[in-house]
Amino acid sequence: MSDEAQLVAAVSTGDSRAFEVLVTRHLPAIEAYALRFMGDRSGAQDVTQEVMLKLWQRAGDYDATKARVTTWLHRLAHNTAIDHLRRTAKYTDDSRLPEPEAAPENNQESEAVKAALAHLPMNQRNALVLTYYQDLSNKEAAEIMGLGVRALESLLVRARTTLKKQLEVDQ
Amino acid sequence: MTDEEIISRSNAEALLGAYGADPKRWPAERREALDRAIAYHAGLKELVEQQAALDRHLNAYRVTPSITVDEVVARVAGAQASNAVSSSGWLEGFLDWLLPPDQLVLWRGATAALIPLFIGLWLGSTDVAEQEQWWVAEQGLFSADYGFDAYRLDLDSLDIGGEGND
Repeated sequence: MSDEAQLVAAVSTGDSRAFEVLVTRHLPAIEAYALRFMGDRSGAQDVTQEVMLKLWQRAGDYDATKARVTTWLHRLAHNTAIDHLRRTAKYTDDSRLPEPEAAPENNQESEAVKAALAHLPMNQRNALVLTYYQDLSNKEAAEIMGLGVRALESLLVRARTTLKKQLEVDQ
Repeated sequence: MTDEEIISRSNAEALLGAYGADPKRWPAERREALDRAIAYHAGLKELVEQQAALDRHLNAYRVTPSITVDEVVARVAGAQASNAVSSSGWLEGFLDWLLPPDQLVLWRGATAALIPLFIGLWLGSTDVAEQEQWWVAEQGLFSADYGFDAYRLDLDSLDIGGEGND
């Protein structure tokens, strides 16, 4: 059993120290995922907090033979984010996000990418964020999204093609 | 190098289109084959450059996480305390079903307070019904052949305690 799996097992017995270690390791990545996927800081913070609460409450559900801890947490985050978007009515038929608000700390190029991502259909945006920004393998990203690798790659090609046009990448 | 070892141009384009120009992002099991295809097929190097330009744009999008570990630990501690205060899980579950937590939050407390009242009313109405049933049963018993009237007649026919009984 990996070090991380042992920590999750300890959390399932109520070990708060193990919980803090896991939160310290995974909190920034989960919040970054939620921020890029949802495009909304307040919602991303809610989702991240909820994921960490689920880590505490549902650590016993984790199966180390099926996924790495980071993959499991990303899956929790993915499901929680979609639930959140549905509750707040941002999960529309074409699954695109409303125009994101500009974050003062970001530069113009960063804001342009953020806006272009927000215009992607949810599945395409999610596939890109999981594989490109979260450094998950194609198999892990596909598993999180409940897809096959081929379907994931198809989403990635469409996402990058659209982004390339929107960002007017130099030919 | 044989043709069989080179993946097709369209497959190579699809892989570059999906994963971009950085070989570290390509699936490990297809990395070498894709490298060979880029060297082999004309025009793929230009596609790599285009994808590299898109990668540079994507890399410019940075986010700054803001939640601290202490905030998360405090939230979990708060949730635990809230669970401890909640004396019964079934009541929480019932309230969640009756009034989802994200809706009508202010009504949850009022609904919880009304539950004992409804239970009392239900118990009260059940007692009245049982009493009525008891009274009906009693009436039935006394109105039977050997019931109330006969009993009264028997009492009347008995010459007990009368004035002429000496």
